[in-house]
Amino acid sequence: MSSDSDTGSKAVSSGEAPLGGERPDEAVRRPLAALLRGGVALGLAPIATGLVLCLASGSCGQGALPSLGGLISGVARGDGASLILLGVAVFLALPPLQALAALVSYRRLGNRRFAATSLAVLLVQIIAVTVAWIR
Amino acid sequence: MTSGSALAVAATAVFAGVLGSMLGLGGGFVIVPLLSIALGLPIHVAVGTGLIAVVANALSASAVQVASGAVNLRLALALSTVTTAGALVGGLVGTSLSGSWLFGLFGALLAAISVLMLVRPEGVAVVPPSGGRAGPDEPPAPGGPASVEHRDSGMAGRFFDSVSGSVVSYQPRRVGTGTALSFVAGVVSGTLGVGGGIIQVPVMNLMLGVPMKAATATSSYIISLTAMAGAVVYMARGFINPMITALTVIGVYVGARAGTRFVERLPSSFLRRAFSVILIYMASRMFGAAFNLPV
Repeated sequence: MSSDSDTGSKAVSSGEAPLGGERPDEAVRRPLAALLRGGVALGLAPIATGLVLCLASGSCGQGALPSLGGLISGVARGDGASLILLGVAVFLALPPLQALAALVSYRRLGNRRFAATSLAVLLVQIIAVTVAWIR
Repeated sequence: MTSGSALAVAATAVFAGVLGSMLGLGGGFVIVPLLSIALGLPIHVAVGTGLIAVVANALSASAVQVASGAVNLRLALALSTVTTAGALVGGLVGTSLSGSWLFGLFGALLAAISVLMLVRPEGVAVVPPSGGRAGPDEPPAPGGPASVEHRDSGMAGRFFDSVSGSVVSYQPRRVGTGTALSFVAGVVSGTLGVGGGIIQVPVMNLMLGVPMKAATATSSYIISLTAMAGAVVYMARGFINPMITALTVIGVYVGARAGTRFVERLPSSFLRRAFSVILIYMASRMFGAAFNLPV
């Protein structure tokens, strides 16, 4: 996946103002940037709404997390804490989606090495979430 | 929570977002001490809240930096596999440690990194091309260009530096060693809620030879992929306060967007100095809390 090198680094700057030609991995950057922009907006919206509701009511739950069913019913009845937790869940879902997007993009480019690397990142993320919830 | 407390949390989060985005640290290194020391939250709740804020900060910063080309995607993916595993281990360790241990470990980490940055303030070594010029604040590599050879790791990076007005190209070195250290960064991230950029940035800059701006952008992207592993551990154990989490996430988001704009205009030397000063101050506060000393 990665190689070790005992040679020095190379960092050079040239006088050219714009980047000549397409930047490295441009075809991967575009979908990733779009996913990140959309995901951040989707996560922030319920958090902001939940915060307003919590501030308006003067209280916001604390402590144990609700079950998935409890979270959904809380969101349905406009509970501020549930909305905030929904937004947090969206944020925590974005990293695996990023890895998946990178995997698909590198596969389309025919770059097996970094498609495999993206898959490894995705698998480790899934394992991490599973271990966190079952332990 | 009073409106005054809510304002204090929001202001702290904006400040953390600006710094986290500018330095590639994720904001947790400011959020966690302030939530625990200044606002009196249990440190485990502060770490859990900090990790959520770190994820949000890194995601919002990466949305801009991935598009700008500063992020080295291949290097980030290579380092993220082990960093995520480390963050999971760190989350499991952190939730089982006492508060005093967390304060002491936090202080030790900040002190160690600040010393490293002060001892090696020159940062990345730059090899100017024949007839070319180095970046405005990057010194030549020790030994000169003639002593350096390169091996393509498939992770070469290139970005436009708006400060120098030029394109910077680089070839990361010692990626294997950097990968091993990234596991440590993940453990620290999951244990202390600091994102991991606190280790990733110096490792990429000083050891892998990645220019500071690319290192901070790549670090933010790595954090956006990996910090969730530690966050879900704290969240699964109930170490989260929805109101404070919402205030910090939104505050960090606002601050991060401002910080991303600042970082385009600031020279790397300023980032390194700011990095060191902030770490020394935060280390003294955390040691004070760990050993009940008046700081």
